Amino acid sequence: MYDNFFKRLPNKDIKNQAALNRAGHTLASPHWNRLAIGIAAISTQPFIDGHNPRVDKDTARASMLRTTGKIIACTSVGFVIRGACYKLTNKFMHATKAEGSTLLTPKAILNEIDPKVKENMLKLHKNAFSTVSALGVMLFTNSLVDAPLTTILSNKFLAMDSKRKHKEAHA
Amino acid sequence: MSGCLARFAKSASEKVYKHFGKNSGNMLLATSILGFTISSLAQIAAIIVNKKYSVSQKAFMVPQELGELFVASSAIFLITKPMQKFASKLVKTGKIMPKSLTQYVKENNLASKRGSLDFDFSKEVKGIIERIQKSDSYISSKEKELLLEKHHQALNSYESTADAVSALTTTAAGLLTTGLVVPVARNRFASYYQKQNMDVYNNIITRRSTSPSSIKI
Repeated sequence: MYDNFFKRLPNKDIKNQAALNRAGHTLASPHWNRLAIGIAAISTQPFIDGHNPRVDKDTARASMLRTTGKIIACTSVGFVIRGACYKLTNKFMHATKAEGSTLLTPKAILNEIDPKVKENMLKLHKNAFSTVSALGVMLFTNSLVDAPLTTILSNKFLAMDSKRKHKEAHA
Repeated sequence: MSGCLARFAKSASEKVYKHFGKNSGNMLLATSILGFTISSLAQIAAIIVNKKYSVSQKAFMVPQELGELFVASSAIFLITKPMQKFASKLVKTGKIMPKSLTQYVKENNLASKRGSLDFDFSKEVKGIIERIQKSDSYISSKEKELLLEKHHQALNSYESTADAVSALTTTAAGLLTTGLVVPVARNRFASYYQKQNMDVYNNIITRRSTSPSSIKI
């Protein structure tokens, strides 16, 4: 069935390869990827939570406001940390000393002779190392920054919401 | 970077390369799941200590976080990985291909094979390069070099397209998961457990209020 489905798909030519490569390169960097996911989350999740028919209205509302606070907190912190780790990795990880600092370049990559293989190894390691270093930092920020910031934002939104409700009731 | 931090960062980079250098896919998978877990546990703790939420709201929000952790982790295997595999197959077999390579495919008699399941563009080009390198029939070494350059360019173009498609597919899978699958599935899961949790909570409250020790004279 899979073979038949695959055979029926028409061959497609990519007309604007430069645009595709640019988009791919941008979204492969961890911070832009985090931002894209954050935008997708904030555009649907609060709506879905606010219109949850399986819970009472107050719970749905509180859940919607908490989700909004959580997405804002986690996306902004995640974007900043991933971006910083990616920039630092790029600054201190070059293929040769002539290109820049090789402080973070592993010895195996520095000793590689084939320039094409070296470039590929470096590209993969840059993404891997910036993601791992961001995770290392986020082990602390998830509990020390993200969660308290989510609480502060959610409580602020809850207070604003109850003020609005109070005004509406007395209008 | 100060000396101590620089030494720590260098040693961390060497360790990441040593353990995950040849298999960064599994490393990214493991770090994603670990990241989800830590984040969810921190959020659960924040919900429990937040005095602004009622018991009933907490009974919904805690399973909602657990549901998000479970659904987001499962989605990596059930949505992201299959989508990546399918997109990689589309590029590998030439179903999608940059326009600059379609002429190359025609010139090298690969057009009839393009799009079939067993066609592997990069393997074919590497085979052509190997044949040219082994062959003695070329008049001058310069001609051979020019020919090899052309095939290497085609391979580079293919590889950059494959990388871009892979990044776009991963993001698309992430958007689908985060934007639709996670919120719908976790809310169903959380609503079910809220009812269960509230039944248990109400039973405890009822038992306490009707127990002889709670009756004040």
